[in-house]
Amino acid sequence: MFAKIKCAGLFGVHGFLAETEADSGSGIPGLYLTGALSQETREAQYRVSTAAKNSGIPLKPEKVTVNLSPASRRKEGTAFDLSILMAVLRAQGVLVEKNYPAAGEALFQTHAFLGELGLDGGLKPVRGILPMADALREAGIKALVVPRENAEEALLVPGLAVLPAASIRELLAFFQSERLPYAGRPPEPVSEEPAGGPDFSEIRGQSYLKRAAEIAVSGRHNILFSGAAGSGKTMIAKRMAGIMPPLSRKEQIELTKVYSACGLLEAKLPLIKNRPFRAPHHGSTAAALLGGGNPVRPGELSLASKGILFLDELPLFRREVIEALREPLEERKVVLTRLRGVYEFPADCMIAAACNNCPCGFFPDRERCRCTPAQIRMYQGRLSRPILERIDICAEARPVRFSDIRGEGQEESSETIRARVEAVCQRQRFRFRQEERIRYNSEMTPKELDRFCRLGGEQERFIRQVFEKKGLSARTFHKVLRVARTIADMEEAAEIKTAHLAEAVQLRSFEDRLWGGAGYGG
Amino acid sequence: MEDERKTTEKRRLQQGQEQLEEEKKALYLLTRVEGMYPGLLRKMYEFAGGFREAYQVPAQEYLKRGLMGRTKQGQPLLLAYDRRRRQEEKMLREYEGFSLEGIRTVSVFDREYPKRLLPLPDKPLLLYVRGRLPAEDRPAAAIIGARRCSEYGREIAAFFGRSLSEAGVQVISGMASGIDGIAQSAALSAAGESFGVLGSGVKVCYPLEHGGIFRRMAAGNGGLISEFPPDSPALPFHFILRNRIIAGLCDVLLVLEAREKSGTAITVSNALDYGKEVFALPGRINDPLGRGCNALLKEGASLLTSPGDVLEFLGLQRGQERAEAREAERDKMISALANPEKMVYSCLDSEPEHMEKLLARTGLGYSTLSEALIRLELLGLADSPQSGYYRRG
Repeated sequence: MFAKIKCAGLFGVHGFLAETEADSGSGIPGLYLTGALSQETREAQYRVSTAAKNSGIPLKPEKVTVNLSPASRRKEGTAFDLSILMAVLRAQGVLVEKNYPAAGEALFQTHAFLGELGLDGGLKPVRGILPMADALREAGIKALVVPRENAEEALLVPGLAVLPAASIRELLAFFQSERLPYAGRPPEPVSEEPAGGPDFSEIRGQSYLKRAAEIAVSGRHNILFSGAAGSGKTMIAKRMAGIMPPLSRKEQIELTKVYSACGLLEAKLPLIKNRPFRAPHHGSTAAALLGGGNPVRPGELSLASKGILFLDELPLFRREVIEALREPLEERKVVLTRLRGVYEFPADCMIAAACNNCPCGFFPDRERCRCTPAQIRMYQGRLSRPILERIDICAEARPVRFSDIRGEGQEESSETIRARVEAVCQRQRFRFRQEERIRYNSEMTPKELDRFCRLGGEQERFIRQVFEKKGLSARTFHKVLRVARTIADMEEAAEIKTAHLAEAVQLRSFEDRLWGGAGYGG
Repeated sequence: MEDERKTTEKRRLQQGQEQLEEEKKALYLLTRVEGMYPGLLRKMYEFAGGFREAYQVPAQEYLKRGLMGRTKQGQPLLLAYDRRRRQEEKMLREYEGFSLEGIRTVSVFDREYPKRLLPLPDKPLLLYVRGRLPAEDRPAAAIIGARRCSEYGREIAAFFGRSLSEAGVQVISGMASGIDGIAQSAALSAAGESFGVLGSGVKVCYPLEHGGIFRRMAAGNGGLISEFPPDSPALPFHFILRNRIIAGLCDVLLVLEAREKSGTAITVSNALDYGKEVFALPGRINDPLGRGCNALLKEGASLLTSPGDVLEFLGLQRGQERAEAREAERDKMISALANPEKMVYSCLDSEPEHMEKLLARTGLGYSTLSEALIRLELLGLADSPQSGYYRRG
């Protein structure tokens, strides 16, 4: 007898509809699996038959052939277990309307099954439920049977009924009853305000870094914090995600898909509501940052999408790792070409990086720093130029003194700052309403700069003087224009003023010092 | 008759010159013997009566007369000396090639040899030069000091390098990182010349961070001078030898920052031996970088408080006037400043201050403050030695 069960597979962060076909008949008894299966998927043959036995419905000693269709497409993971068991039970005539009133042909046309089996017949959660559920709904599936722990996540997809089950026994019991106990949908959240997380009001002083961080977030400019160890660079960076405008529901779902594919979601509160802050260690490999492994999973760059990717100790990252970030940042997506196909992951994040000025971390405090000039240059020289070219703002932190920590007065909260940032984002949305690729000031190419960053005569003169004096490059000029546009937006100024340009120039001095060849002051 | 006499004279002159050239070549070959030092060269010269002759004498001869020492194993000190013939061809080939690389060899026999070095008892007999040698008719000042200097030291070194060279003084130093390099790079940008005496060969840039000024000086904006073969690396004992050339080439020696026991002390004692005037910048008494200078002052070095002190000693009144005029111009520029630049300038210090502190001090916003600072920077009244930090320029 032949049976077909709907299920889904995961490819990167995207799900696809699949069908489990089973045929049971005479021959040497056994369970034969086909359909381009990975190791862990193939092992289902042992899990399925044992789980069936321990659930009180041992498989009949027949030859059972199972094919996961489309057979040419690679299938990975253990989410196919449940659908295989369902298909086998139907093929052997066990799971039929006669025994289980709810399990009619109509049910199997509209329901898909996902979940891993334990040998005891229990259902275990799997990763990638959200992207798979989304793909199933798009393919016209009406309801999804999932392990209980995955229910909340599956419910994130609107218009898809979810039937959670803890074990095979429980599921079969449902099928015997009249009505299936679909999970109740939680009410849609009223507000999308991000909650919790570290707040800017917890940082005393450091107005310079705060200002730089606000400019960076407002125009979505990548930023580099430099300065002595313990001067609050990491503290500021951690709070930057909290002053970005809240994620829309659609963005939240897109982001949650990435986390789902990585198996990083919490069972109770699966939806990623806050903008992410990811801080990969400087020993990370390119695969950890961009995505990779087997099966291929998204990397930190995608996990930080819509939020902040914080690269602490930037000079200590391996050069080729940092340089591999370049293209994805520009394209806002990671494209990985592997044997099994081309994977595409989102990479729409903002970079915040931090570095000390010297190996010991105390420079320029010469009383504590014992590094030689050559050591300092060597350390700073490790900063990869290609990535610095994508960083619009460099802010130098100041060593924190005791009086700063014990200061009086109220510091601004993240909420207040976020309101301002949102207003600037709105201005940018309006400005770029007709542009296809451009959303933020930082994304302007020379063409847009010509249109949106016209300078007056006075400003033109000023910037020419500055560039002649400092010997800056054309690329730096474009960065200065972008940042100046953002600063002008923050002050709700239609035209870029000299002061805006000056502040943008001021926030760039790090790179010029490094390579401008200006040498010593004086 | 007349013509004949002229030709004979010419021939004699030519012969004389050829002889000198031969003598210089022999000297060159001797200096290229591994382990050779100026003292031994002098003894060899005196013994043989000339470098050409000295070059022919076998090591045994020198050993017999106790001119060349022996190691504990009884080997001649200059083991390489007897091998000199074997590398002779290669060395001469290099010698011929120097001019193609823009390197000149200047020996004591040459007219070009710096007159300031002639009276030195341990003068270098052969110099390698890229670019120019300091002019004889203009005063020269050596500015030396600690490699790891303070922010204050950097500022002062740049200030003196700039003002002295603007007043027409040739600035000489050792191209080391710290005070040396800063003074030289300031002199280069102010007057387009500075002279570096190297502890390595003239083809070797040490430290690497001075690549920029190294190349400019090699190209004729001042010059690079060394007594070590062009490809020689910077060996530790070279620096002590180099210091005596710095002391010899200058008319006045300025010590800006020095620890109590340092290479600077050697240069100073050389300079005193050669009868040069030594100026020292007073240091704070609890600052290790000030102790060397203060000790010098205690021993009678001249007090250095402004470029005027040096210019006055050198008899450069005009230069001093010019420097004063520039100061006056600067004062005028400051008084002509409009607000907020004027206010920001008054809040700046000679030590670099972070933007945040300046913000608190001036009460301005970041944009306005940045504009004022950059305008001051354009006028040369402010300077940012480290990103985010500003001081008076």
